[in-house]
Amino acid sequence: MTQPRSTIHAWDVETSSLRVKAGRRLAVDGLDLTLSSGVHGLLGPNGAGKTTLMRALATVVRPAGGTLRLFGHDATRGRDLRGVRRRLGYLPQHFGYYPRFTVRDYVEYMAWLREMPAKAVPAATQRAIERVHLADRADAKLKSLSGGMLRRAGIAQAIVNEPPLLLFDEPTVGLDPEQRVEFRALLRELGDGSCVLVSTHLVEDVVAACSDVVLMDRGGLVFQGVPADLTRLGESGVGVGDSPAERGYSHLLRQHRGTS
Amino acid sequence: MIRPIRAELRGSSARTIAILLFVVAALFTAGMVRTWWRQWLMFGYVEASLMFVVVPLALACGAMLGRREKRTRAAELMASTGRPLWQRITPAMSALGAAVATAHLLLVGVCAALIGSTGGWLGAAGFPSVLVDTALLVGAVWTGLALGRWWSSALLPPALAAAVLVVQFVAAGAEQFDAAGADQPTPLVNLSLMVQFQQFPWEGPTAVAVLGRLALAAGLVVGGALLASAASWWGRGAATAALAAGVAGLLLIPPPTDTRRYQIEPSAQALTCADGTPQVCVTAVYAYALPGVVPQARRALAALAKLPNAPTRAAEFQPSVVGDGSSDQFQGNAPRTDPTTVRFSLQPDWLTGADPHVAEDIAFGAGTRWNGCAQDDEAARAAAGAWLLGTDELHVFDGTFDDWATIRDQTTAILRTLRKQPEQEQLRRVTALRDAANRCEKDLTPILTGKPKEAS
Repeated sequence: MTQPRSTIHAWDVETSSLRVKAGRRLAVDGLDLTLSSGVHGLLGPNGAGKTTLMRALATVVRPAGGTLRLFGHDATRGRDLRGVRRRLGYLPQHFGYYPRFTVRDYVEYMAWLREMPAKAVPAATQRAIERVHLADRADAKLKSLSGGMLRRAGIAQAIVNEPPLLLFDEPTVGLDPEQRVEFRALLRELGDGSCVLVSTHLVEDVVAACSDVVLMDRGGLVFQGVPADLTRLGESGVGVGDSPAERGYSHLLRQHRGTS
Repeated sequence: MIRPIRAELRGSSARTIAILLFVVAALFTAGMVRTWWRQWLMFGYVEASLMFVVVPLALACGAMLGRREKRTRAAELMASTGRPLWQRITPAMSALGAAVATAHLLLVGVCAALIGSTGGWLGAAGFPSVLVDTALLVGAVWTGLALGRWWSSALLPPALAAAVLVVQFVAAGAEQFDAAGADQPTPLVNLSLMVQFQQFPWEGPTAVAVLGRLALAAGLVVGGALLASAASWWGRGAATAALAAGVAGLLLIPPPTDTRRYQIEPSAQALTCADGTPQVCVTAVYAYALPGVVPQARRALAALAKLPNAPTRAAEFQPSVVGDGSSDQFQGNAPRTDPTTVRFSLQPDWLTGADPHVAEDIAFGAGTRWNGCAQDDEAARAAAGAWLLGTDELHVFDGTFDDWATIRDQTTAILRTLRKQPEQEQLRRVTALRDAANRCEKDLTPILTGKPKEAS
């Protein structure tokens, strides 16, 4: 009798000296990072390499060097990719969608693409749509939705297969304050058992919803810790910003740039 | 798989593309309604010619859908999913193929229903060609979709349609010169999907003609599917080879001459006869015209009965070979010997289905018009027919030709001379003309006038 392969792995995401190109530019350069269950906020200025890292983790771009392991599998190896992708949920920075599809059709379509069992798709779709509060627009065409609703539809397609690794690239763009609060609650819920990586510019979202902060600059890791560390640093009076977390963020960046 | 295909049918442009192709095809078909009305095999010719326009359009429409992932920036999201590429594109290709095939078969079905409901002949012949063309359309949209995925420029769809149209136009005019310097079609003409005109409604495409289009359809279907799902250069190479093989099949399999593209369908050409005597028969494709033909044919048979050894049966002419567009093909020096049956041709009006000139056609040359001989001295033959029917002229020609007025004047003059003779002599002369015509003699006027024919 064939024994199932062990799925035990130390980290959901593990990179070592990871290098990823964005066009000809090396946008991620020598990144060492490990992530496990929980909600991880990925912070960094424009051009830090956040989106390129997200794309590499989503297996959309192939790393130029280093190692990238997802769920213990080499995510650059073709034969492992299919199994890895089946366990991914991804909301890209530019959420591409087919405008004449309804919300339900598109989420179902993505569930099928992520190889969910056919019988589970309708219920999973309904649940995902309800979790992003789009049930009343489930049968509306995507082209008829507002920017915030589209973002929520994008989140629904990412979570429909309840993946152990969720990648959200700027998910709160276009959401109003109430929706952002709701999304934070959803993130906390999702992070209970899954590894959720959220790339954002909004430090307060990270502080409010994330269990872990990853700060990147110029393709490398600047800081990894809990949000409270960031806040504590800001409260000590260093950095600039309107909140302690923002001051902590800016201080870490300045410190990194000063030493590099 | 059914669920995503349904989603594609509801949410992609597959239905719009199918409707567009249906409308263009319907307009083309409606524009040629005079050619195919009540004629199933002629509809087959129109349907096949339709591909000249619809295939380039289908390629362009497929390319538009193929551009979708990159145009909507959904490619990145799709690429992060586990399904292999060939599975990812299957719903869109299935939906598009099903929609286009349904639209085409719907058009064929509507036209077949119109033909059947108006009394036209319907048969299995012609259906294989329709099915091959349906596959051709599916292959065209798939290949367009694959090319659109590969090169997502907005210029691709119009460029693709224009290029294929230009190639067809150039190919349609391709000729080569034989040793004597005469124009001869080359195999290049096969690249044009505008098929050569078929001469008779009982002719259908030969197997080899259908096979050439089947090769192209298979090349497009296989090449399009491979190209859309190819993730490696090997796959793209195989797709290119399939497309090239399809084009080569279209180019090399069918003969370039139209007489080998068509064959006579026996069931379409079989005679259908009216009840009663004398017996009057028409081919199956003109069976709807039989009620209007019978009284005219019997009137002509009664007129021919004035002559000794007159035929007792009238039947529509059934050529044994495929038409090449020239009446000379059936008019040589070998008379047909069937004294009991007079042959006639039918050219019913496309809308009313009536041919008012059947009696004249039978009486022309005293029943010798379709006896296999060259129809020289038309004025004498028309005069004999008019004499038999008791008229002053015979409406056999449509008046299109310049010399028709001359022939009519000559006919009147010959008739005037003939009618001055005693009745028995008139009968003898017309009988003599018939017998001479059945020996393929050419100079018939002196037989009716009793004097040498004047130089015209």
